[in-house]
Amino acid sequence: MDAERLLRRMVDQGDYAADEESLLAYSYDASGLEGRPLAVLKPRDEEQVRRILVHANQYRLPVVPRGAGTGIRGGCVKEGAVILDLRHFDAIERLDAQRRTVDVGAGVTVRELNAALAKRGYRFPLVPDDEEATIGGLASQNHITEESFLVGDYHDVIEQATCFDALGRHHLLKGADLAKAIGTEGIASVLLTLRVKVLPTHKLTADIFPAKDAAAALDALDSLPKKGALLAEYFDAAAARLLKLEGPCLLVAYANDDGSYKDREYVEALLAKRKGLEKTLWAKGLAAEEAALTREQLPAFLNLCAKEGWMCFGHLGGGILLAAVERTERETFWNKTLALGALPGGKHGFGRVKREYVPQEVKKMLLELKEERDYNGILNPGVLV
Amino acid sequence: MTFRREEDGRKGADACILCRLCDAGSSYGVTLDERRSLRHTVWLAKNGRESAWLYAAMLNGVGEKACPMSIAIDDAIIEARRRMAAKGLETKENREFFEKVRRGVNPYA
Repeated sequence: MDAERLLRRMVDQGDYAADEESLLAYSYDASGLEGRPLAVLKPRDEEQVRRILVHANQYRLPVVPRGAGTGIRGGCVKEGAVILDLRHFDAIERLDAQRRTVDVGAGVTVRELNAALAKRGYRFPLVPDDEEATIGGLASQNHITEESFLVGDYHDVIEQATCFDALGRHHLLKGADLAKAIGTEGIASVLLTLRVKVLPTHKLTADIFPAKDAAAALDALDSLPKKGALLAEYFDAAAARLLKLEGPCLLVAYANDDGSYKDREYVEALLAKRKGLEKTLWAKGLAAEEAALTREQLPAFLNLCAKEGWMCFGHLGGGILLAAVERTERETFWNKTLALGALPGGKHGFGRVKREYVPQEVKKMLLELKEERDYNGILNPGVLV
Repeated sequence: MTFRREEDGRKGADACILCRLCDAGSSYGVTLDERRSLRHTVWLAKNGRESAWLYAAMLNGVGEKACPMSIAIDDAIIEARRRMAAKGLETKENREFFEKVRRGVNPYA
């Protein structure tokens, strides 16, 4: 019996698909990359995932874990791969009010999680621009959002996780092992469940501070009492105009009464507009490309944006700024950011699109991890390394 | 036929960025069948694909409301279905439906 026919037996009837339309539907994500997979499998429990991985390893079939396919770096598109659709891992359970954690399946979307948590008076803080993204997908990219200012990244909000490596070995990830798995974009393990931190629902107020530029905004941020501040977003004059604000400015939102803008509806609408800014730019033919910057790199980056005429905004509090560049100029941006010594990434992962921009020392670490967990190289080949 | 987007400046399927926000209210959330996702239906329309799955969308306007790109999703899908029908490629179910309408009997029976 050939490898493909055996794959059918790994999941329940109806959870295997290799028909033309399914392969087409799984041949793309939000990155614009396309690659027709070999088959799509939708496992419903851990044993099915384990069997698929063991089988794929035996026959050296490439396996690509996939959530909702909302990534913009092509992390879940691969010609000839077995797509492991993890959307059936959709349990939300064991909300621990004392520890403020909840256990979620990797296939739960942020919208689903926050809808369930809202009923209990909690929320998950790291909401991406696209709420239809899954927690597993976001953790595998180590996605950064506005509220990373307060809660950090996915390393900080995940307490523990379970996964299978490529050999079908089960791991309970904590501490250093967990840190190694976050942000590895499915190249060394398949995340199954995650224990994530949640916040109680709270008040919401905001301040908008005028600032000459991002460096001045950063100085203003330093002098702010950080207690209760959820996010700190910088907008240059052009970006502020899109939000109907006077810019350049620094927007700070608080989980208490500290802000001078106390109308919750207004603040929520403003934050929603901020969340939609990247998409607004895309509609104008621009791509919002991110750079992870140190304080020392900030002035040079601002000069670059000014020289190139790139609109600049972003998660100043989290050390990530974005520039609005022509879609055809993305590589120019990546190269010029790299030339400054900054990392042209840090928000959306690197995937297939930007794999050559992954720093060498990170690649070395990833290759070591791959050697340990996926020495046949079946998991998400072509991503990151 | 004048589509609404020509009147209010909304966009066609080619503006889709594949973000999936339109799927917040689609049957994909229940079936988890990517073929049934509204994103895929719009992708088919965007790429000029002729497929029976263009008929998976219910055209209830929920996806349109969620679309950050202001795409007139329902119009774009109807347009794609019309292109199929013009080539005689409508689905068997559709042909039967309209045949019943022509005969004056309940098309849903």
